[in-house]
Amino acid sequence: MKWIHRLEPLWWLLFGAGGFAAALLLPGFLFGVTIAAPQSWFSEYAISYQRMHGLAANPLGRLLLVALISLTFWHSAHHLRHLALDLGLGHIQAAVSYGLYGLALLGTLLTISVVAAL
Amino acid sequence: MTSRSTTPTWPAREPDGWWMGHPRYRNYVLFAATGFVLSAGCVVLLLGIRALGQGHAAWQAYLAHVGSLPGQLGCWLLLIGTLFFSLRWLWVGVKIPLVRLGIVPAPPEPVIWVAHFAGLFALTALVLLLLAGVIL
Repeated sequence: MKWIHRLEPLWWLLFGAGGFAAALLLPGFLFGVTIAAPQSWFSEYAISYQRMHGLAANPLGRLLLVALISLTFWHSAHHLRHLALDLGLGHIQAAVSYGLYGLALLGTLLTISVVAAL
Repeated sequence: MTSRSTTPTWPAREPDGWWMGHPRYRNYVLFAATGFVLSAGCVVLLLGIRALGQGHAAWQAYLAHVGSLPGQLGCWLLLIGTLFFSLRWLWVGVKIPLVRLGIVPAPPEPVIWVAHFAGLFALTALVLLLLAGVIL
């Protein structure tokens, strides 16, 4: 746990950055990509493979997607770690912390590899 | 003169189910639990990005999957959970400059409120206009 505590400022930094990224950008992306696009509320051109691929594979698009998704994973890991402590799981906090931050790291690496493969 | 008690005691801890005891505690725990919802939403987006990387057919299959009835039910739940998180996060965020800016004079409270929620509205509109093909 010493290692986790030593990096506490980093966890809080990622928590804050991920919180603002998720709060300000995720509702729009979720609504647009998972609800409006499959329901054909946008034009056929707008959700065509060529256009969507072009948006996502653009260098700015890649940067935005990696930042939004990976920061949200880190934010969630930190929030859930503190939820576990509040719900009385302090006796296994090392396992919870390593598990959640490990998942966030895995999510970040996965996001980078998926976005790089565009 | 004080005498030290030899009675063994456990460290203080919260009573079980404390968070069900008051609506504020329940909202606090629900807010923290949105970590599951945000992560699930990101996984759904990540699957879409992976489909884009796999080609036209995979992208059409992704749209068909998320557009199915179970897919839409799940996506609406994720969106509602994410909106709950956004509103609560910004509500908390409004309080930070009022308390923490210290020697720097804080802007008037209404300005902070408008700045936070105008940011959410403007960025959501920008993302939707971009995805809808209105811009770019």
